[in-house]
Amino acid sequence: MFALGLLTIAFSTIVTVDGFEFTSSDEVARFSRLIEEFRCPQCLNTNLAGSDAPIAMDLRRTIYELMTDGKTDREIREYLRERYGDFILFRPRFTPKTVILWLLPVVLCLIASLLVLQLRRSRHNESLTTEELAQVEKLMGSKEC
Amino acid sequence: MISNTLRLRLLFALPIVGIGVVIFILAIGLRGGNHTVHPSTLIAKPFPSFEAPKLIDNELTNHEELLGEARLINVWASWCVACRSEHAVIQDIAAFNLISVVGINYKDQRVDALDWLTELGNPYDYTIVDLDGTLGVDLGVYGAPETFLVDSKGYIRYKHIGALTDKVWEGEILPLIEDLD
Repeated sequence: MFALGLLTIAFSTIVTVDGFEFTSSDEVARFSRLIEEFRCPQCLNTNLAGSDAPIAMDLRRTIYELMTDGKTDREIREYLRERYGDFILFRPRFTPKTVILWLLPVVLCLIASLLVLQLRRSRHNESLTTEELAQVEKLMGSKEC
Repeated sequence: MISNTLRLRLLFALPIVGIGVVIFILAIGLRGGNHTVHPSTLIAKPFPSFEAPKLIDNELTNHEELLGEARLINVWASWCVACRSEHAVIQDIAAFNLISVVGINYKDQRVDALDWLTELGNPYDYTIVDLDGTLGVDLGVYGAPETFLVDSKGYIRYKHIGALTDKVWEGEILPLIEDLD
């Protein structure tokens, strides 16, 4: 057990990103993914990763601390949402308020494909009735003269 | 035949109508005023628990000390330009003696904060020091100044982002305080 502990110590390297220490590249990747997921509350349309605002730095630190506390991604998301509101989430939750947002593209695609289908069908049905055929023949015949 | 051409026309009109609807929705969104102001999700929630020193005497305080009476809690910092213009309004409010005014000194240097109070006057019953912005994050603060109204049971009733003005005080906060009683 002691030897195993020594081994892990020997093989673990500490990576420092943005002043935060990580013990594995998985953790670094997780941190990078999380800070890209949230919007900086102060500067519009910049995520926490890309913002120099002091509050973005504070929130990066908060996320780092929550990670080291062993919180899951979901818990971290909920923690920030409780304090900064839905605004901070770049990926909106599915709630009664956001139903239109999520379902509108699906509904529009459905309508579009129905329209395309109908258009195709109406083109197929463009065969003439016998009456119309007779009319055409008459017209064509008259032209030949 | 007629119904077919009509249908085709309607079909071609559909994208144009669709684009019109989208433009209309976006136009409403653009007219929607200040986009950096979001209503606090903390309204009707208890003030977050914390432990931090007070600015003047360095004595530790926590959320329990806020209980017992309604408080107007003002987040400020000496580096914050808008706080300077807001300070006169805060002093007027404190002079009314209608509500206890408490400060949160947000991410500031102690010396600078003390100088600021000496220079401009101290309207606060006491000021909580939030050196690294931890309490700020718990309060959903993203810059100073911000102001919270907390009732005597410690529940957040209102949040104002940006400098307080007489208009905000009289129009929004005062009616809420009267409602608290």
